[in-house]
Amino acid sequence: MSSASARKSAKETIYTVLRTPEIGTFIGVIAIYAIISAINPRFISPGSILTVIRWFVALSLLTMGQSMVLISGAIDLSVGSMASLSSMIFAYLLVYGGQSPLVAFIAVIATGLLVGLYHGFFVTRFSPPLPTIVPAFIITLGSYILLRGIGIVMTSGIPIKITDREAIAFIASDTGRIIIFVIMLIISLIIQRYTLVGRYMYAVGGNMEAARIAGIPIHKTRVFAFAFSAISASIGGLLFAGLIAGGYADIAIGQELYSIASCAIGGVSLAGGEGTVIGAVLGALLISVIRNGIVSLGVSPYYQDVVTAIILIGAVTVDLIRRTWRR
Amino acid sequence: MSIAVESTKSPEQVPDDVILLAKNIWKRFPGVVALKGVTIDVRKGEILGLVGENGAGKSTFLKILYGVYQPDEGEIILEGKKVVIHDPIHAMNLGIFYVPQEIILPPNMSVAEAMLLGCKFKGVFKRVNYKLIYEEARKALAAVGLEDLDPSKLVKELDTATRQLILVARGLALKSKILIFDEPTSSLGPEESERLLNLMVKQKSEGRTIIFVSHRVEEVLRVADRIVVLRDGRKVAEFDNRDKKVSIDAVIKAMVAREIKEFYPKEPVPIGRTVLEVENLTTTKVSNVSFNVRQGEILGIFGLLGSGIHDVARALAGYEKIISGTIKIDGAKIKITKPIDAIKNGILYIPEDRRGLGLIPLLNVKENISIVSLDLMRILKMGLASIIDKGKERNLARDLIKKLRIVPPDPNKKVMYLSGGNQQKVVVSRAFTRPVKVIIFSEPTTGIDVGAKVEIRRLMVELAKRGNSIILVSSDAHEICGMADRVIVMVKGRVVAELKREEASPEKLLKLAAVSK
Repeated sequence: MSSASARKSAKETIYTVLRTPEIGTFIGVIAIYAIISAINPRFISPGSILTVIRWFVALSLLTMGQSMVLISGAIDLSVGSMASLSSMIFAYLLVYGGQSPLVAFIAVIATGLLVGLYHGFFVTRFSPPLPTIVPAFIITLGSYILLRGIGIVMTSGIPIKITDREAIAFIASDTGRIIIFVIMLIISLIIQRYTLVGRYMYAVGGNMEAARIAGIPIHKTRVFAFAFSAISASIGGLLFAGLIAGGYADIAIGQELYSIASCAIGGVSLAGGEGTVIGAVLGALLISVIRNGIVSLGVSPYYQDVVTAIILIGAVTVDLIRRTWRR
Repeated sequence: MSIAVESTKSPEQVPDDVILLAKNIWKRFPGVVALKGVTIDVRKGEILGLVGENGAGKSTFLKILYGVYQPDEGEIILEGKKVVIHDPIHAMNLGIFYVPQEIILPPNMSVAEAMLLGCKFKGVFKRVNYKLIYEEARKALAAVGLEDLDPSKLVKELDTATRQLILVARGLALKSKILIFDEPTSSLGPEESERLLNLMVKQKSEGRTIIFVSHRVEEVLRVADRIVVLRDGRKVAEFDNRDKKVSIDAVIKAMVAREIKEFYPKEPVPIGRTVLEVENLTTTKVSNVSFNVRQGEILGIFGLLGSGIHDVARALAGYEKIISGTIKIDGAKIKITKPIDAIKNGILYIPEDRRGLGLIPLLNVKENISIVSLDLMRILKMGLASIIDKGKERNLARDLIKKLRIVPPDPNKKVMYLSGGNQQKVVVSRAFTRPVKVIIFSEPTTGIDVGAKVEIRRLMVELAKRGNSIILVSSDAHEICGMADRVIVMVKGRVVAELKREEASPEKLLKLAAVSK
């Protein structure tokens, strides 16, 4: 009997951990970091940690926005293209436009806002009678192609090199990146935990019809989520620009999938209505660790996508199991 | 009247004349135990009547027989062999055919195609042999008295009664041994009901076994050979009705078996001025509906399936588009185009579909309570970016959890883990979070335990006492008669009658509601 009850309580513990995805993801990060470091001790050196963090903060910015959209019951496939385009706009204005970094920054944010409003407007107003997530899928898939396309058109696909190091001193420095990351994380956290629109996003994503009947402004809420996501992604684009000291129309292509995977790993349900930005960011950390760790392990970098795909599928499975166990 | 649950027998001991035996069936849903160890035997070539009130477990039992649900415990023995019915197709192949309450047939298919859905054809890519299908269909249609119906006619051109017969014909075409009728007469007129009952007797005489579920006890008494009464998930009585002599009173007593008074905790409340006036309300589903509700009054809106009663509630809640009509609150005309308009004007809607429309299951109790009143709980007012006053929210939730006795008394529990009754209390508690004038309860007690039903009704009375006007929309005639001060009856989107409390009786309401046209 006692062994049965012990087994039961062990099971309960596992359930609790799985129900708190933030804890599970955090443990995962530590464990994977430890395993890779055990095989290749250089992975734990400050240099390696910094490399992980550099890519992690850039991906995180996309993930924060993605978490808002997913929580509100939609999806944003355009964040990678949005970040790429914003790196192009930023570099273009600095190099060819002769603008100050501040003007370029404002232009990038404004573009992000515009794209986000466009997504929100189309998803809420022109939504055909499809399952809720489908219009978002289609509209942002369109933007995935469109925004990257605009970036390519700007310089016929040629990357823009920023030679004026002064101008990008902040976004190219580790301190600058981390400050931007922390500020955005705090803003996201406040929105999700304390504001009206944060609560509305959970309600809309959790049960749109019940939210409608409760008098929640559904359209505004969804537009907000998309706008936040696009702005957050465009700031992420600045971090990518800082990483390569320039603009490139393909710099963050593919990152949208990592951002979705990060959310799924960190407990932001792809079905909407639950999860936190903390979990999502931890998910991004896990992915960054694995992607960089593979290189450290001497595996050919060509395997990165294969491994990431496995992570993504694994994360979706975990999301599914989490929801099944709840019943 | 009640009998003890039969002791469990091994399959070998099942008598030959028992075609189907469901033994000690348990079924639990989040929030309600639908079946508590039900044992029912069905004998070859009989009509077994299964009766019980709403939520007694009839439909759940049938769905288990039909493979829609799996029992948590218990076994099903079909023709002496233990079977596990995986899904409806499996049930069909085993010879069990279910005619559901709401007939859903693909509207753009022809009668013949719809009828033979699920029949076995060899090969996926084989050409459909229409000649054969039509022939088969004609034969089966003739068996249900529809010899004149053209099998190539589209389903959407037919009325409900005919659709139902088509489904029965499908059961015959599939050579089913057991036909299950789930409330088959609830959406039929008296004449059509009569025809269906006769069909049942005819099928019985041809050796088929029939399970007939209805809350219209008279009908069951007329055709059933044996009657089993379910109450609160238990089999409470069994009557031998081969000579059709069982009295309706005995059956109803077994069905209800509790003092009506305590079931419906109605209290007299002084009725004041008129609060809500609805004139000529028209939507796509209802036309020219007019009524008014006064302070402290409970107005019942009664109607059967398809009568549009729920659409009236939805229109007032801003959830369904109002085409024309005027709505006045305290004499002032208001415009309702979206739910927030209704809420701002003091109309709170408690939807009939608790899980689908009422609650956000992933949010916790506290958040589900406050959701309609977050505009009153802000620290910083900055539109959407306003900061929620979490302290106020928590205190309000705590008070209401205590007041409404929500179990478990934890404001941070996700509402999906609560029982149905407690979930409903969470929805109702919203009426206490902001000043409201009119509260619309749409089917407030479906799918919850008996105890919770009484508690919800008590809350209804309390809200009336506080000076609110209550609209009780229900297709449960007993509930309406038990709670309402005044009743309006709707048929096919129109109001057909208005009765005072003294004039209303369940029989009268049902008669009014069942008349077609």
